[in-house]
Amino acid sequence: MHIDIPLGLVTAAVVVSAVAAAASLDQSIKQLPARRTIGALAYSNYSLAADAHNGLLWYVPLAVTWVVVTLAAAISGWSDHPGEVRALALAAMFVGVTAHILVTGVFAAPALLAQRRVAGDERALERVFDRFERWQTVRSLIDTATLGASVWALLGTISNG
Amino acid sequence: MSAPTLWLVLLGVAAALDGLLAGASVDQSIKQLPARHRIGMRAYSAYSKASDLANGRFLYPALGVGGAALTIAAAILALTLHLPTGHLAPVLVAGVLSVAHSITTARAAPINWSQRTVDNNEAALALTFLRFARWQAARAVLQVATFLVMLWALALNGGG
Repeated sequence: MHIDIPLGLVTAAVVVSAVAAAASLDQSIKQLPARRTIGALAYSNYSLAADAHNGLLWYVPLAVTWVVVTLAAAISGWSDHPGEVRALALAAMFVGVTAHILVTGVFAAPALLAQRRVAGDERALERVFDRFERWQTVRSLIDTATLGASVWALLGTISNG
Repeated sequence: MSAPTLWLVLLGVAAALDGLLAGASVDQSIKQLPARHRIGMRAYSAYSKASDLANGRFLYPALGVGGAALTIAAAILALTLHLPTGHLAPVLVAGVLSVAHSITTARAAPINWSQRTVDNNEAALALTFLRFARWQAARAVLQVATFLVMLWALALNGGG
């Protein structure tokens, strides 16, 4: 079996995109809404024990891998004389990852980390999680779209032969 | 659209769902479940009941049943397409892995739901989550394997 470098890299980009999108959707659909049932204080305890603990060991390497693999896949794909559609899919994939990093670094992560400054204050924690939820929703949409772009780029690479 | 093309689309959709399922499962095993050791079993159970047993009961079946059903359907359809053995094999392996992770889910899910019957009993909850974490780890490994094998199948068969 022979898998060329552009195909291998874009396949790796799909793998990492799927994992990132799943983690994001799980956060938005399942984890964050739980705070309305258990309260912001209890949810903050969970979040500090999960997101701010193993979450950091899980999300940071995932994000770094995502950026490196996507950049490598895009450069490798663009240098492979792609058709217009495949080149566009590679660009969409790269823009998606860049948007994710910007939204995470500038808005979502600082919003979530702000819970440490208002520990014990239920009302303030509610505001922190409401703000985080808005950025998390944006991030989930970006991540899902990026996964779609990655699959599109993979299909374009496969059909290039 | 020809049958092989439709099958390829089915393979792609199944692979995407398998990827989302694998990612959610790894997140559960690496980030969510270990938090119980820091916040205590009762607090974790309150979170789990408000998440896994609330919105999770819609999210996971959609991904788990959807991904497994489409992967198994793709494996069955592949048998009718007279594919070369090398191209057929990964699709069949993915089908078998989907059956395997569905079996682990059939063991894991009732264990997680059983936390409702041991409310506020820290030791019983610890045992319940320990058993669930074991089945969850097995499930995560099988779901990740399914996803990787599906991508292999897609790369082999997509080139025509």
